[in-house]
Amino acid sequence: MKKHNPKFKIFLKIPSFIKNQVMSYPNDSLDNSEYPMKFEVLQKCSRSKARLSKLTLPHAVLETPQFMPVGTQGALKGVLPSQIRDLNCNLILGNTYHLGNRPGTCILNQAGGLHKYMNWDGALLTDSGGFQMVSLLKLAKVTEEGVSFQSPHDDSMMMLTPEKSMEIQNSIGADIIMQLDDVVSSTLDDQDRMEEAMLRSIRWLDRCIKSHKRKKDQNLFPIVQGGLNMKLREQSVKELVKRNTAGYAIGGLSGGESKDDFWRAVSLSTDFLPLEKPRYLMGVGFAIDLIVCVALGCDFFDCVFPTRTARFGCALVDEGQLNLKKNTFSTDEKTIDENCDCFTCKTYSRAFLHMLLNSDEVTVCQLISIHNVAYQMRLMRRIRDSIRNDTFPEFATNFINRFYLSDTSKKTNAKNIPDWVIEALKSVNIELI
Amino acid sequence: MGKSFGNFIAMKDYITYLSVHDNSKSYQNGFNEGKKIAIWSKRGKTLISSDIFDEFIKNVHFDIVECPYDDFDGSVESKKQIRKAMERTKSFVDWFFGDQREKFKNTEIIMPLVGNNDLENRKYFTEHLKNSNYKFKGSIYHGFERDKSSLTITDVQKYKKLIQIVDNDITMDGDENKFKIFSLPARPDQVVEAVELGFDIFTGTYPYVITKKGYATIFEPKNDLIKNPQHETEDYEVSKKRIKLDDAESEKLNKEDLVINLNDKKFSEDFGPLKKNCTCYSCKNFTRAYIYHLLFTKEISAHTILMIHNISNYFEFFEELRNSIENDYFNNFKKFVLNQFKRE
Repeated sequence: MKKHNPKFKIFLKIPSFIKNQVMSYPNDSLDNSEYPMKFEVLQKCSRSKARLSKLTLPHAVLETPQFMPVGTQGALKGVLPSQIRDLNCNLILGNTYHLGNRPGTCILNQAGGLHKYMNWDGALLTDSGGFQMVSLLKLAKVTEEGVSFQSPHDDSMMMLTPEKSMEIQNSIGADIIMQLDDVVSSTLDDQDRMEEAMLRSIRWLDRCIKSHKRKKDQNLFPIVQGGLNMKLREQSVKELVKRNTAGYAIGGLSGGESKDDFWRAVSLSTDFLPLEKPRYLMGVGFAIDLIVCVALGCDFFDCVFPTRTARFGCALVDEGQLNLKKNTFSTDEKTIDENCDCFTCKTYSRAFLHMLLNSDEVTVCQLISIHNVAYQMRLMRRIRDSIRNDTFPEFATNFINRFYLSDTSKKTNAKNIPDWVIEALKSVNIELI
Repeated sequence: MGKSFGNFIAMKDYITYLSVHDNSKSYQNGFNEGKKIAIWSKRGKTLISSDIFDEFIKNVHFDIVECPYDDFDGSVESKKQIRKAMERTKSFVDWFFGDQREKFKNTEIIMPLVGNNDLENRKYFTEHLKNSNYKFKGSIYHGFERDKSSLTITDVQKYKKLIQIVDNDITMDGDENKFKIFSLPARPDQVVEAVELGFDIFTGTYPYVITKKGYATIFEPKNDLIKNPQHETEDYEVSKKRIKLDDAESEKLNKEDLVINLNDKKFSEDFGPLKKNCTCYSCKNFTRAYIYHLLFTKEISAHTILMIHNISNYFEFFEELRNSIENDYFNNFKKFVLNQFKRE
């Protein structure tokens, strides 16, 4: 039985839209690969679990650890594709839920996939749509079949199944796609529900693998679940590893749980995941979190934070954030960050951006987004370089010390270095004090 | 000399121009008091007097500055009102052009020409300028009526006679090297009409006004056939090029302004560029369908992309306009442009 959802105009004739997609990629090194992806660990940190690797995808080659900015609706908040390229970023994320609604698979098929539609020739990753559904929609209900929800447009009941999620993601054409998982909040106390979700996610993974029609172009990643229950998480990882996929995502975290629980869950996940495959940690983007999770063995990350905070006039720096709306910046002739060489920092002063925040919101959002993405890219590059030179522990220590002892943190009454950061790094042989 | 505004906005190689009002927005007329005029911002009304304005331009340097003035961007019935506005403008002009004020060497102040649609008041004003023997290199006409929704001038020809009379009055003997500024957003056909009346500089807000609505201009900025001065552009010859659209609403839009409304759902599956054969960055990289999607999902990239196209189109037109004057085919060019925008 297949329900035809009027909003998700899915084409059941598969061959036509496959033909529309470009089949020749810049990386023919993937021709003989088992998956349309190659992952090679180049260097390991001699103390922590951090590693420097090379990731080859159909549309891009990049080094990890790396951060993926989020282009939710097929655009990166005011930053054009060629500008993203100029920021040395070649992997971004798109949201299946949003894109499945607007523009929808029909138009994406006609366009030949999201790459062509938005004119982005770098790599793309899409999530399954499940998370947005559960968090954004009223009456979203999970059954064994899938996620049933009320359409935001006409109030009719619709269903997102693992098969449908695959279909939409096949249509979008991203280099990496996510399984549909049964998403449960990490702060949920109900262990029975947690276990049910974890086991169901495995069954849904198998359905996803079966209905994934473009295995030669797109890498399907399973998502490790289990919340903060270490036993469940371990079980989840072990089951997923049996499926022999190109890489793994660590999910079910970054949802309001305590940082102390968070890092332990991440570390356990990486302990059991295979070393020779990439680990994608979902929903992490703050500098401190990135550094800690790199130390714990994660390879790439995504988060809306940098582009979202730009909209509110906040620029990222090593010490935290600069809220350029504040009047103290009205006469500040310095650039956002003297160490940054993005277009915004090469051209404009903080005073100018402060003025723009009061008049031209479109332009200033674009300028700050450019800087924030540049900042994330530069941070990850510094992390990679330090692993390359086996000085990652020193880099982490210096950065974290500066961050927690800076003016910005003093003003917000932040303590000295939080315990969770100290313990997390201690667990991988990095002593902060 | 004050701090350079050009440096502040990272455009130090550009000429900077300070205007009194933002003509890309529809602002309130009136609300002035005594010798002060009201200017509008997000915070509301601020009253500006001559010395406040002078203090500002002393501290922040602009290459060209509009002298503050008072007039109306719509037609006004009451001669008394127009007279009052004209008198207020006079007080500003007396301050900025009078002998007692120390002139800045590097800042050119533009003479405002006010009087709305009333020839009598216009003449009072120019009489005063002549009698006071004020020196100025550039002037700007205010007080023309503009359309409330499109924000462009309603009709250039309406002011033709008035402009010719006022021009005559303010031209000193043998002094042709004065430039004239046209202060309202203008479509290409209106620009051409204004150029014929001697205008030299135009405000560049037309592309912005268009972009804000989610529109893209699709008029043709040039045509190689007309470059030959011998070529006779038939009155309706090039109107065949006009784009035909299905529904009455777009036909109307198309006929009047030659723009397409990217908010319209019909573009959601149109994978062509904004304008065929356009060589701008936007047309080379993005489709109408994608831009529709960006507008629909309220992504700000839409505005960036549309603005790039609209500015390119407009500036290409200006370049061709200058070419046509320099190379003696302005008449053909004029017909070519007016034909596109002609209302049937």
